Amino acid sequence: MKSIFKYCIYFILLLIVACTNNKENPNPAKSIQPLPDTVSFHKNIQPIFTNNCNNNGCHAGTIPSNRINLDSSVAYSQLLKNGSGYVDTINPSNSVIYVSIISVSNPMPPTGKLDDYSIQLVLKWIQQGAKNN
Amino acid sequence: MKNFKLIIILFAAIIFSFTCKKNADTTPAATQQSTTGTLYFHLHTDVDTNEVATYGSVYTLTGGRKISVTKAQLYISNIQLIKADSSIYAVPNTVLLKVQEIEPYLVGSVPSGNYISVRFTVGLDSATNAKIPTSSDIALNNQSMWFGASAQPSGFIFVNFQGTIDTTAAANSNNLIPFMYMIGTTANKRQVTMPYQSFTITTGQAQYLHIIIDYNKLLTGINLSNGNNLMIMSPRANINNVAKTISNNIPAIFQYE
Repeated sequence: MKSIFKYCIYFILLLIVACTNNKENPNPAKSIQPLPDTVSFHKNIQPIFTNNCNNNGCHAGTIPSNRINLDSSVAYSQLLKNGSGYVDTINPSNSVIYVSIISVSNPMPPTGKLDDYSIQLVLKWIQQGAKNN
Repeated sequence: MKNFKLIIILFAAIIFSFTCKKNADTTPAATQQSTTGTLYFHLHTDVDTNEVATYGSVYTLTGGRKISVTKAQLYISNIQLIKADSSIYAVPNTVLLKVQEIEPYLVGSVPSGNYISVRFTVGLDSATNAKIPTSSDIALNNQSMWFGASAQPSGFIFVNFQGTIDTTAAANSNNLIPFMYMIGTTANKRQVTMPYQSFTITTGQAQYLHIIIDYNKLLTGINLSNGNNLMIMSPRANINNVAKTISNNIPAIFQYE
């Protein structure tokens, strides 16, 4: 009777192992750090721009690249400029800013693609209404 | 007892292999995805090095001449994408009305792949130019692009550029004189081929082409000091040399950002 019980335990363990192995995340980078429930422009988004976009004077100053200045003092108003399409809260994944950072042929920043976490933060911020929070 | 062990092990092995197999083919949808992406133009309205942020503002051109813009609009149609092997994808049924206030324009759903250039017509084909627009023709049903109170029989204005400008030869006056260029008629439509710039359309993703439209370049070769050269307001006036000069300048007003 004891050995039947032992084999049942082995069997259950084997099933658990089999199932657990198949829960592999196809995109492990996204699961490294969970996104915040509410994405803050000032806390989460602006630091991405500051570290990657306006630090070499590209999207900064009086003549910023592609006419978009991402300095902290003006970034939000520039991104939300009426009719610019930089941020599209109705179709977030069509926002110019998002399309630029996931672009295959001309990704921003040109020095190297942003990490998945930062990209997902930007998308979630837009999906949440691109608030100045 | 031995038989029981064997049965348990065999059963476990079968279950194990089935659970693995089921999970191995959880992505059949991937093979059924469409192979298109979405192309947008992102179009800026400029005069020389100045972006026209608002109508009515006065901008200074290189050389000191002052200008203000009160209307800067044009039609883009017959959009074609050029691949590296020179084959062409013609985007069907797309007519864009570029206005100053809006920068992103949906070109359409296009096949995924690598492209090296894009070309399009500024103006409308003959059939479209003869069309009576309905309320569903959003781009065409716009009175600011008609020569009169209705679109027909005169056809559409292809390029509508209006404002005030210093017309002195010395380009040093603050007295700005009105100008009005309404360019239309089939003879004045122009094809624009953008220079080589590779871009990739990725399946299921959007892609923007960023283009500047410098309306000041329309004035190249126009003698502004001659008051007769400042107004083109009818299809009839579109046969004169000023209209032809402006039309011939159209391809030069587009450049990548």
